[in-house]
Amino acid sequence: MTLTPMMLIGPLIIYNMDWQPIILTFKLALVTTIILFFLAIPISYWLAYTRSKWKPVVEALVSLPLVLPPTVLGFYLLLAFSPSGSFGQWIESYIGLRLVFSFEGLVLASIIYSLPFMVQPIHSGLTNLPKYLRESAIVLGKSRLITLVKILLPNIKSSLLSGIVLAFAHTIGEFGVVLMIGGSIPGKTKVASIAIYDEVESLNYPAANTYALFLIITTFLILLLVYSLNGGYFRRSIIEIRKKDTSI
Amino acid sequence: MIVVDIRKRLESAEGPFELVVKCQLTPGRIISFFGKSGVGKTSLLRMLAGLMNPDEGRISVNGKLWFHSEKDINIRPQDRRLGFVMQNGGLFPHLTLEENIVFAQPYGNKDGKAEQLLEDVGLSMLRDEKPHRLSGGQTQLAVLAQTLARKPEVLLLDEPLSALDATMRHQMQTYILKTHNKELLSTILVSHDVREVIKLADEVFLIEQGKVINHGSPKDLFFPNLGKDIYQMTGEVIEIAPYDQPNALLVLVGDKLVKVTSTESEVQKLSIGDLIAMSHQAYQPKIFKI
Repeated sequence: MTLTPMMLIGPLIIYNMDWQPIILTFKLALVTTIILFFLAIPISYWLAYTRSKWKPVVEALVSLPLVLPPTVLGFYLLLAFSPSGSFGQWIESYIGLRLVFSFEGLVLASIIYSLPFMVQPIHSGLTNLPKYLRESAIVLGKSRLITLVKILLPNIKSSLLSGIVLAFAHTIGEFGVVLMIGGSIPGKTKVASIAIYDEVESLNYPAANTYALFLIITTFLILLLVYSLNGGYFRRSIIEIRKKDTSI
Repeated sequence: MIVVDIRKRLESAEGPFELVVKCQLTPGRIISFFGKSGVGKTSLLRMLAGLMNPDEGRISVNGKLWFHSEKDINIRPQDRRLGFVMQNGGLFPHLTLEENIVFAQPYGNKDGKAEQLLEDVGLSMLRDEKPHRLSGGQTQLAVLAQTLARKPEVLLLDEPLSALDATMRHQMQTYILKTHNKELLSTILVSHDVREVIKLADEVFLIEQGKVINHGSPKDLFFPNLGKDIYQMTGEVIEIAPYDQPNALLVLVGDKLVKVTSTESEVQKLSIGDLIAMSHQAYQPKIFKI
């Protein structure tokens, strides 16, 4: 089958689209990004200022999802969360959460999978700040929390924005982890990337094209907005992360 | 009384050395630690501020132990009630000048003292400006005002005048002396600039390679012959043997360049950039009223 321009654009107009996977994708990306934001700040702060000998270990663990195939992470999470395993059983009976083939499980997997994309920009933002900012605030009698919230974070707004966008975009692009731990349950775990795969499998190209085109356009618009608002810094931080990415 | 008795291994460009400082500082005075760059002066201030820990020893301020290695006492920097004007410091760039001062006040600006502090340093017109709009000298004055907003007992100054031009230098110096006297502070100044020390300090400790080698009043230390009918001045060697005269020097004294003639052996001991004290017999000088 050859693709014609009408086949590309046409589906957006005529195809009676199931929006659920798209809505689910953005819901997952939003929840993951919000939780990651509050999780990554203390981790980045610790990494930026600790003298602990455990720092390289934590750094390596946080960066692990950058290099591992998503299926590896998905496989172990599947084993860990499986209701037939002791950990999965414990979570299900004490917290009442089933983490396999559920939205909550996807969120948890996405948090782990996108962690480096939030931590690295914030970490590098904090380490690039002049040393005197933190020290002056501390000598002025301010607690570490006040110093972080009122002095450090306002001075790394670009890094925070980079982290938010990267984590959000990366979660939208997830496939392997989601497939392993979420499966493809409509309305619960069938996100857009899985929906595209399913539609292609069943040779329903117009539907796959609709999802794919929608993802391209929305992510392009998000990135365009950030680039326009944030100028060079965002590009630099992506390049920095890529450099680190390839050097691992 | 501030008692400092500390040891700390430090690294410098010439290799590792040990900073050993043992001294008692009288409160209410301006004390200066004087020495070349890299002898451990800034590290000493950082240890007083609690930003760096001595390897061993103790620091006590007005009867309170801030640091004691044997008793395992190490008060947090936040609880030390001191002000520290760092050499490479500055204001918080995202806050306006006034917000910078208010941030430093322990209980916010309830007493309206922020305005007063800005007025004292002559910067109240710039209160709503962000720090990048200020000149280097204005920033330094604002940092000092911010430091004082914390109401410190001890004021630490790391080369406070070195980066300033003559006018700002004078303004800053006047302000330091005024606030030091008004707030009854104990001020500790580190510097490698004789002029700064002579103008500000009551007592000087000379540091060389991490050790205090001498102490006394600035006049006694830098001008030992004062009161003996001798002209004395300090300056920086700019050129050795100018105009092909092997026993001459060009010396920068204040903002004036002076050619000085001495003996060849004395000149040979010096190198460009050295700080020197010069003295000359002052019998029957010609004096003019100008």
